[in-house]
Amino acid sequence: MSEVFKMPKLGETVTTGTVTRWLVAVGDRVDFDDPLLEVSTDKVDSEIPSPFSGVLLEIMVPEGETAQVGAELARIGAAEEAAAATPAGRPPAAPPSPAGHPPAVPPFPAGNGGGRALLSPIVRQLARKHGIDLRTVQGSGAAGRIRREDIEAAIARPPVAPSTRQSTPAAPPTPATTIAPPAPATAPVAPAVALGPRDHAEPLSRMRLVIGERMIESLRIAPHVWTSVEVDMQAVEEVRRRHQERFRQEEGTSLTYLAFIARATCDALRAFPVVNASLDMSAKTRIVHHYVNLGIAVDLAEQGLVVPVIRDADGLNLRGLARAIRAVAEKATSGALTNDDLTGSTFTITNPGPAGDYASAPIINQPNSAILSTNVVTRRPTAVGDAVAVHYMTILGFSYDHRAFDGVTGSRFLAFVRDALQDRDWAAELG
Amino acid sequence: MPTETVSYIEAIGEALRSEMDANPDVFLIGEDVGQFGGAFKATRGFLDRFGPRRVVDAPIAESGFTGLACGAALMGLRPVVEFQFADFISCAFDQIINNCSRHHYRTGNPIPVTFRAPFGARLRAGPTHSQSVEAYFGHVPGLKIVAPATPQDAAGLLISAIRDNNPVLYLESRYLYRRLEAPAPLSLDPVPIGSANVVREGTQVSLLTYSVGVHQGLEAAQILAGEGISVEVVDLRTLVPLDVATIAASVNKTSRAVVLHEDARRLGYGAEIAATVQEECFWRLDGPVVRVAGKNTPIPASPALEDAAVPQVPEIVAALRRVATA
Repeated sequence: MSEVFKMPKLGETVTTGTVTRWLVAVGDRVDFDDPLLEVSTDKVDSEIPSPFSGVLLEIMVPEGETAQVGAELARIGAAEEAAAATPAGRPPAAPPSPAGHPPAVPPFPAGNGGGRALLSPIVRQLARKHGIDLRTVQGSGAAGRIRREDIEAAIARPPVAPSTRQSTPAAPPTPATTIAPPAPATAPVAPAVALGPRDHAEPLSRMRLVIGERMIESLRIAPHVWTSVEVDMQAVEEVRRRHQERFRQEEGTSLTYLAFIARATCDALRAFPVVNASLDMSAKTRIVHHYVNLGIAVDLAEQGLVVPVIRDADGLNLRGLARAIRAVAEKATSGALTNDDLTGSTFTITNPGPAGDYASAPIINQPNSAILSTNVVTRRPTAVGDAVAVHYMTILGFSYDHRAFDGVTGSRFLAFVRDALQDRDWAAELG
Repeated sequence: MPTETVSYIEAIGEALRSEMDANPDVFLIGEDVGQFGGAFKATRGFLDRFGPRRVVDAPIAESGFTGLACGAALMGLRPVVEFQFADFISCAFDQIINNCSRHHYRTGNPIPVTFRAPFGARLRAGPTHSQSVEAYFGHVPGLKIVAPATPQDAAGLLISAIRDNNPVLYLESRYLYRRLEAPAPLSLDPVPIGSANVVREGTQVSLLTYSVGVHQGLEAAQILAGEGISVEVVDLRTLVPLDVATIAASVNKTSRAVVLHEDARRLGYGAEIAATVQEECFWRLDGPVVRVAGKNTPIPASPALEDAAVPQVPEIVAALRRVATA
């Protein structure tokens, strides 16, 4: 008797996964909990252990293919069955849909605010059939709902060639199949780079491809405006110095500038709810979040970037935030993040400061409305009263979606963060 | 006297006369159908033409003459029973349900009875002379129900009802009796039971209705055409069996549906139609199926209240507009 191994659910919001690598060959033995295959979703790569012991009799979804959660991936059973197993025959990867009804529509992109858009059956059906990206369709119905007529008009329009897509060289051998709905076929706009004798084509990692897609998409949908503010970090620096040693003993981690900045940002987000909101242009709504789920961009040894989320960050004080930042960073660098750790942010901070940037202009992490970037903290001359003093200074960069709010709001938000950093009694939070 | 047009009630009379001329087994029974020529004069002159054995004035006892008709049908005749008002048909509930609608299933014998029931409100007749009865009987297996909206269909469906070997409830609209004229001469071809008719083609929303609703729907569609909203009006004509194919074809095209009837909304026939639409057309729908129907109240005697209790054109226009543009 053989067991069928199915695509596990890799996170609450995950519906498909791509088999990146089978770690066991057909005919080989695998024991319970042994690594069986690697599966990647939009954000995480996971190694899946075998839930059964036996011989891998059949692989139903080969490397590079994408399968729905619950789809049959492989059969594992007793060795005798190996001979009887059909070597090649492979049922379709997707689970059968009930009685002739269309299968579930691909999840509506969370890019427009995470709120589930109200899509009627006919709109879903037409969008799927004609490969229409619903984010590009303007709804004319109540509250911006996409009506049948809107999607028919979108079908009638000639497809727009995505000009930024084509510059990648040879397609990577690893799957690019699950990123977003397929783009309409278009003629390449830029020729592939010719490989010379001293050139070397390196396949892009899946994470690189996903980051690329997301960056392009964010810049496409959100008109970015960058602004910045100079902050006198002298007070913060003095508190850090005073408490650093004790803090390290108590918490096992250093007291970083980022914790202070995150704390000040959470307060500012409470004061400026539009900055902590997500737009849903298809519904013509702004989704206001009465909590701060703070995304912290974490560099993975220059191989990629992930944004784990600190939930309800506005309920944490300086010490709590420092702990939470450390926890998500460790989880990220150890590769232990799940999809649920990576979704649901309402605002994001990216932290190139330690690398020495003077000022930086980040790209918004959709569906957020804005993003803050830290920069290097250095000693610079600054005016204090009528004297020139040398203080620890920094610049905070801030990119925002101009659809969501205007310059005055952005500037006032940044000023709030600056004032909190400069004027708060930070020692009180470390008592 | 040459007539150039035929009214709805004249069409009923012509169809009856023609079927009685053609088939000696067809006979009429009901209150005042003979000497008085029918409560609304549909059978004026019939007594002289066909004699008292085929035009039978019955006492005010619906259960009795309905039972008699059922027995006559069992013996091979084709009775046409007239209820003066559909409201009084409840007196004959037992005979219609337990005898007429069930008998074929017990014995295999045909029961070719036609029940003529003038129904509906809008004539200031109060709560016991204005009712719509299709929902009660629509639930009963073994009974067909037709509800013509035009003189032509009034004739054609009555002929089909009389020729049908099943009991058929023929719902005739008193409101339309003298409000509609069709060009003469009227065709006396039968209109098949179970076939709906698209009376106005449109692309954005289907109005599914019958009887008086058809005319209100056409008026509403005309108004909305002025706003650029294209309404398809489907005259169901037969309620049992429902022409699901025509309904589905229309809604699959427009992807929206409004159901309209005068009968009270709660468990009205519109509920059945709406449920059928969602079963057949769900994947093509662009919005919920909406019902426009009478209030869940007896028909009031006050004219103002009666007007408020049954659907009027502005309400229909608003519902269609909302569904077409939401």
